[in-house]
Amino acid sequence: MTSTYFSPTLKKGIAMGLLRHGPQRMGEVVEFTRAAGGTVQARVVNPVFLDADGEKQNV
Amino acid sequence: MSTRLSRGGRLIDRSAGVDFSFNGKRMRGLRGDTLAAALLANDQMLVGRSFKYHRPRGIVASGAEEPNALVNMGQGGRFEPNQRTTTTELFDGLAATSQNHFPSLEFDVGVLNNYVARFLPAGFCYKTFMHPRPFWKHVFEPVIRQSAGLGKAPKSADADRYEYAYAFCDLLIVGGGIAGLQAARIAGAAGARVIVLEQTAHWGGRAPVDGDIIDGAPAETWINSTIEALEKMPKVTLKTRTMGFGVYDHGYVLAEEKVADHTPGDGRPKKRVWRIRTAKVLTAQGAIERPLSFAGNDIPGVMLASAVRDFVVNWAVSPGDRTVVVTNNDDAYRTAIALKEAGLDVPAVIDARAQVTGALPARARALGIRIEAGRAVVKVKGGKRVTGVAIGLQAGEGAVLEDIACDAVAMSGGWSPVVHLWSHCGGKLEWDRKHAMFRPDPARPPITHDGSALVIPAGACNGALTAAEALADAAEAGVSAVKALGLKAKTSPVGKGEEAPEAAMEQVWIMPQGAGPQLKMKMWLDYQNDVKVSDVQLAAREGYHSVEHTKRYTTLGMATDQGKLSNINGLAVLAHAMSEDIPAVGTTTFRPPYTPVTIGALAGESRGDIFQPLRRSPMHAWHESHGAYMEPVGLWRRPYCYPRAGETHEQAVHREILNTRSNVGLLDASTLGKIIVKGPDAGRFLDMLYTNVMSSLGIGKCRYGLMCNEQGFLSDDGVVIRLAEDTWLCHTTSGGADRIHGWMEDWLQCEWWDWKVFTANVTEQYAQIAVAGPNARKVLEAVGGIDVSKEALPFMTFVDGQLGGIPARVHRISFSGELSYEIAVPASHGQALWDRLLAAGAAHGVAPYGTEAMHVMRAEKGFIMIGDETDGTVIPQDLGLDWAISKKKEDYLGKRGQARTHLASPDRWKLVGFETLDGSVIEDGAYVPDAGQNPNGQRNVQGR
Repeated sequence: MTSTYFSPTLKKGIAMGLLRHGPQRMGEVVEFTRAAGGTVQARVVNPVFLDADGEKQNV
Repeated sequence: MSTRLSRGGRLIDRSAGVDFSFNGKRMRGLRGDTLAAALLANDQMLVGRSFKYHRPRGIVASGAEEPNALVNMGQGGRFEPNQRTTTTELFDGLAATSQNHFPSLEFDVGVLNNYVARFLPAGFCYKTFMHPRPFWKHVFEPVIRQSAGLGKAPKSADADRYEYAYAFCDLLIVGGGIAGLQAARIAGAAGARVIVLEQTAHWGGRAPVDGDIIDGAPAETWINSTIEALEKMPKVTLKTRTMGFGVYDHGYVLAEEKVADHTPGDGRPKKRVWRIRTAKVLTAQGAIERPLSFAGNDIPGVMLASAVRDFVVNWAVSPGDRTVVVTNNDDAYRTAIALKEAGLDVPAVIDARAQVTGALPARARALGIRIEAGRAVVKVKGGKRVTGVAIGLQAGEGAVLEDIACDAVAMSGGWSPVVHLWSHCGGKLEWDRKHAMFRPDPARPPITHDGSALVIPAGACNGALTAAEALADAAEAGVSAVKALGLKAKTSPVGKGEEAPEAAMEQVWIMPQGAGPQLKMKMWLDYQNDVKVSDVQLAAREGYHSVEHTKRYTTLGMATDQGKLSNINGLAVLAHAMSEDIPAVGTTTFRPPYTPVTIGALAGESRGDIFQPLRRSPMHAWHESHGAYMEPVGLWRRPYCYPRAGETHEQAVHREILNTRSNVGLLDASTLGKIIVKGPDAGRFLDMLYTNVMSSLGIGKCRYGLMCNEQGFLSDDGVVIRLAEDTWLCHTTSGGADRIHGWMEDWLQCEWWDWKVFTANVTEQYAQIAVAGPNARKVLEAVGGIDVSKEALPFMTFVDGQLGGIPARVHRISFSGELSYEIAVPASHGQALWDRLLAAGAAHGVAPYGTEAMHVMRAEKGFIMIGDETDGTVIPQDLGLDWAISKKKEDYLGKRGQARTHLASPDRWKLVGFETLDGSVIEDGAYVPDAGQNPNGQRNVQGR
């Protein structure tokens, strides 16, 4: 995990990280460790969470 | 015994007593004394123990070259180890203690080393403490550490303060002896800006002690009138108590001034480091007398002949009632004569030369002094004090012909010009066979930027040893300095020294020349590090033929005195052992500082709160007064968020983000690094620095760029803009500005020094404000003055103009994904613009946002952050930034690194986004585990 935040815009947790063969694994569900033990499941997605086409600044 | 004489002493004030203590014993000296002179006046000849064998040691010299008489000075916050008594001016309440002994100076357990000295030769530690391996850590090292070092390290913070000062001149003269003053007068008369530095508190150097005659009168008369003339010259600055200790490239010279060393606690800085830029340096550092290598030459009471003379003439202190002088030259006869004239006894002058014919020996003879030609000191008798000398034939092997009782020995092995400053910047030396000394080689001076000589040597440090020669040489040097500065020499009075011809000296490196091992084991070369003739000869036998290797193997010249007394003797012994010529062996490298410099002085004012001064943006005060919660970013403090009443930081961050995304937000981005890169080769330079092409960027355009180190790893990023044909401005990360500026300079100065590029870090010259959000354009339009429409200012362009009457550069760039402008204004206008934007934005829902909101918004857009997505092991390709890497460029920093197998591997971890299935936030630093374990028994991982 290189960056992880709660996005108030999207109202959910978003994160970026480095994953082996990552870009080829879009949609796959992987497990992340938790400090307290156990894991949390997360889906591999495009790191651009918001406005992927850049329409907001293209005005 | 050593004592104060009833008359004489040119530097002391007999009416002013000074109380001080040594090892707790109360003593009394006189104003004008050095600590060494006062100790001798109190019959304290034994002042310390040697480093390795703990042999009793006394004062040897009278100046900066002193190897033995080092003491701990002061207490508590003013405690300082390794202070040379010979350069310490006496003051009331001075408290000194001797070093390197246990339990006491008089009775020292460590002296046991002396009795087993035959088993502790050079390289003893290297050879002995090899096996068994575990013993090094648990037995040998702790014991060696316990006994290593001379003085103790201070335990409390320094109570004194120190400072830097800066000066600029045409000619810097280092050395205020007659040569330095002569040259200063010539350069001063020609109108040059001259600074003269003198290490002691007195002008004139040795000349008054040596009884030199200048212009028909005692040297002191000429010195006084010359100082008077120099003081009247407005462009000449005279500084005493200031040691020029290092010469660096481009006429940069460092000097240490003792400001309140002798008046501790008077409120002034203890020391001041002068950083001087000069066009030329004229060295007039004089020469240092060499000891002679005879058995027992380290017993307290054996001193340099010149030092004996200094103590008698300057401070009216006699090192002993009966002083035997031993020499290979005429100059030492001056000491014999001075002693005799002071009413003291000189039982004999032992002269190694077979023929003694000079004028000075003739004068000595006329005074009734017995001269023994062709003789040597076979050994000195005594333990903690000289009791006599055994003399024999210099040509022999050490058979004793006669014992002479005495309580001091004055030795002279000839003189070595002080060539340190000449050598610091690459000046080379030549061997002067006549005087057996290295002197500056005029054909190979240290050169400066234009290929001309940076340093001009004058006087004794140039090998002109007598007063007449030194004055003539200095006059010549003064005139050539004036010419080198492009000035015209004016007629000015030039001092002329009375000729006092001296007969030739004879090279004597071991006394007697055929001395056997028993004697050579007691012949000290380096007093401070306990290196003997036998050690250097052993090193030669063991194959250490390079003088640099011998130095490190034996530690010759590696003590705090840096071998001022020992180097030439040591390399002569080495040359002899290898049957080589002395110049073929060469010298070790002379490096700054010439004398030890107090670490506190080097730190200057940079301590405590201003060791690393806190950096504040121009709007810092506004942030604080508006409740910002600040976070450190490098040395900056930046608003993390602006919590309102009742808000948590998290709530504030969320509010700031939503407001920016739906209305408009202001970010203080002033800390963003801003480096101007300018010059004909600037484009080529940036193409090497960045992974993409910057030379093709149009004027008025912006381009995002990545910088990698040579290994290929991503190091910094930012937007580059092109200001003019030959000028770019590179934005760096806030924490990276200084590092990247240094990185640019590193390449420009060390590798591409012929590229025509200048860089300037202008980070603090500008305030920068990001205006981001759907209403950003409306806010700027309300402030007015610059057309910020989509057509006039498209994405990734910038424009210069007046925004609300403030000179501004508006960049259309976005780190939030919103319509965004980053506005740079002169730092002094930052707060005004911030106020204008807040006022104009009020109608559009403006609110400031902090660094955390910025972080979240850039993550929502998938923008990387140096230090988050990178950690020194990540290449741009890992982050999907291939689009920002030029495939066309022949080279850029990191290109070759990125081609390495491991970095080019398709199996590398690459950047993706993650969303938890339950919408929760993944913990910081979490890993994606993989099946199985690695060889260390740890869980395999496939991502992080």
